[in-house]
Amino acid sequence: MSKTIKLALVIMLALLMAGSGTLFLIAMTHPSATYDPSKIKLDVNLHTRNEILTCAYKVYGDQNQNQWVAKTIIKNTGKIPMYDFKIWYKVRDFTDWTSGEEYPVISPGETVRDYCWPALDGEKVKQITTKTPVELVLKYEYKGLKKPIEDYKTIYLLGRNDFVFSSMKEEDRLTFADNFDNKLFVAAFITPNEKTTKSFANGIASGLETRTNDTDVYQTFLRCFNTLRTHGVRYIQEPSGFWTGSEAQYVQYPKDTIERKSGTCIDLAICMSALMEAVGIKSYVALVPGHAIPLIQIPGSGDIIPIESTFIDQEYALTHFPGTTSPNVTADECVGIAQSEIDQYSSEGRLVLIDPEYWWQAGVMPSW
Amino acid sequence: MVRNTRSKKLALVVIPLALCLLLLLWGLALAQEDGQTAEPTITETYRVAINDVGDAQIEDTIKYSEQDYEGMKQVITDNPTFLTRLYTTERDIAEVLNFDTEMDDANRQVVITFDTPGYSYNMKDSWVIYGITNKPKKESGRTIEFEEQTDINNEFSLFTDQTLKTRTVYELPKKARNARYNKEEKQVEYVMPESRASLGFWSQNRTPLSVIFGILALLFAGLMAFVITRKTIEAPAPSHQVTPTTPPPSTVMEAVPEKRETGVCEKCGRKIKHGKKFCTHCGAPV
Repeated sequence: MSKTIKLALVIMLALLMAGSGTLFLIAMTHPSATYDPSKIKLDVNLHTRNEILTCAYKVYGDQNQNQWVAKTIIKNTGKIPMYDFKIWYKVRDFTDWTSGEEYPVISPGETVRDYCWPALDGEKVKQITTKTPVELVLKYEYKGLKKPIEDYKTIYLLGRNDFVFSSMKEEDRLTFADNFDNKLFVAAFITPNEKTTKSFANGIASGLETRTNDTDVYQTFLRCFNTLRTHGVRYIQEPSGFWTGSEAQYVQYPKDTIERKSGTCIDLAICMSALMEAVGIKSYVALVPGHAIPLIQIPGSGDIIPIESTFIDQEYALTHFPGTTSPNVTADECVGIAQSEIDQYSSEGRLVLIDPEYWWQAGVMPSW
Repeated sequence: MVRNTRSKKLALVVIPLALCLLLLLWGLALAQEDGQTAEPTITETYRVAINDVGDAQIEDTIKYSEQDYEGMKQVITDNPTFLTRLYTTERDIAEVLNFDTEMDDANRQVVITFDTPGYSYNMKDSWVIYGITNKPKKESGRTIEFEEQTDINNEFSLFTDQTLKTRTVYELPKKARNARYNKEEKQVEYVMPESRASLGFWSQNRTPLSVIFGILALLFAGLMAFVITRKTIEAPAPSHQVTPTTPPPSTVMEAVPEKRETGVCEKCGRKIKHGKKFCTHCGAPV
């Protein structure tokens, strides 16, 4: 064998050997088709909301709202795919296990975001009067796992009347509206179809045409104010920021205000709004610094009419704002006073208008 | 005949007039329609680039008029968290990573960038981006574009009433194919080739492939060793045609042993290798 031939042969065989060796190593190091769950590496991080506003418990169960109660970030950090990943949640004593979300495959390096929208039991939620800790339990499994894995975190259900005005951190609040970041949930307190509210509203509007007749609509609004006064409703003040640690208030449902014959400015505004909606009149609630004002929209003209609802309490109006009105503190006068307030705050950019019908359509349904 | 000519003339006048009237009405309708659609005062390009495992890199570019841009710049200078606070709420936990805001003075635009892991979901048969309510304006290969115009009054318009035109562009992974918008499910779907680690050909045939390539590697190693250990024989010098006119002396010298090497047995006529004293075939002495 000549030197040249030998050299060529050696080079060729060396190349073939190196190629085969490389392919051998690739084959050896490739994950086996035999699914081995012990080789699966996962990062499962459960995040929860700290506080749940039970007044709006229905919102948390609606996937179309971005109001998840818990969120799980699952990342496959291993080298092999994971199959048939299933995940469930439960708010202990308040829900059953959720129906379970299924992810057929999670590839290596892939992240999955899963959300928990629990359908809380309305009757049980109704019983919560103060901030209550509950356990949110997470359960998941995947192909090859012998037993599902569970994890849990404590969340707090606020009382049915607790309302936190903003979910934003104090340092992040830059505008007036930031203080009412949770304004949408006010719509959940406006319960026009609740039995007591509906019945009270029907009594107010009897004999009036409240759908299209502008004069009758305005008269209904004034009559509502006067009926509540005749009913003996008084204005009360409520300390804010109690057990939630954030800026919060105890807010009454219209039924509570009618039955207790008293309420704060926001209670009275919510009550009047619900009574108007109960007879088909479009209403609003305006939030201004330290105060809330109910408003209605006149169907034909489109005018928006406010009223100073705290002046339902005639004694309060006369003692705290002497000279502002006549001794009778008429409903018409209260419309004028409220209009001045609305104009002032509106021009200052310190007014947040809540349209309950808009938020109901968006899914923030009345709680009860 | 007269009546026919008159009718023809009448038709020649009436038809173009009717056509002109129709065109005029159509033009008026279009003009009215245009009048109803407010011109956007802010334009936004929301670009979502998705990688092979469904993670998104998002770039939100909001372009303002000169006056609005100056206003926005002033507000952000005074309140650096004016826009960032919208992305760092409890709602966005673990979904907004590597957040950054940049003021692009040259183009009068604010550029917001962040990453969202798990933007697209792997549903085995396809990958899915959920919650897209609008129909796409443009679909070309792995790029799907949506366009929307809305009236806003929020941070992005500095709490003034403005019209925002948003162009959302989804850039799917390079390997993505069959990308489409599913109108019924309100989602974008696309197919990705099976990844290396998704138990493909190599994984399914790991054992036989390992054996085959292992054996081949050993075989080639053995053959190489065999070849290396073989003795190398000096290659004979090539014989040249001797030209009678100018025979170079070296060529003549090399030709002699060649002749000696190929001797022939005088008895049996077979070839005898150089150095042999007897014929290997008949035994006759050389």
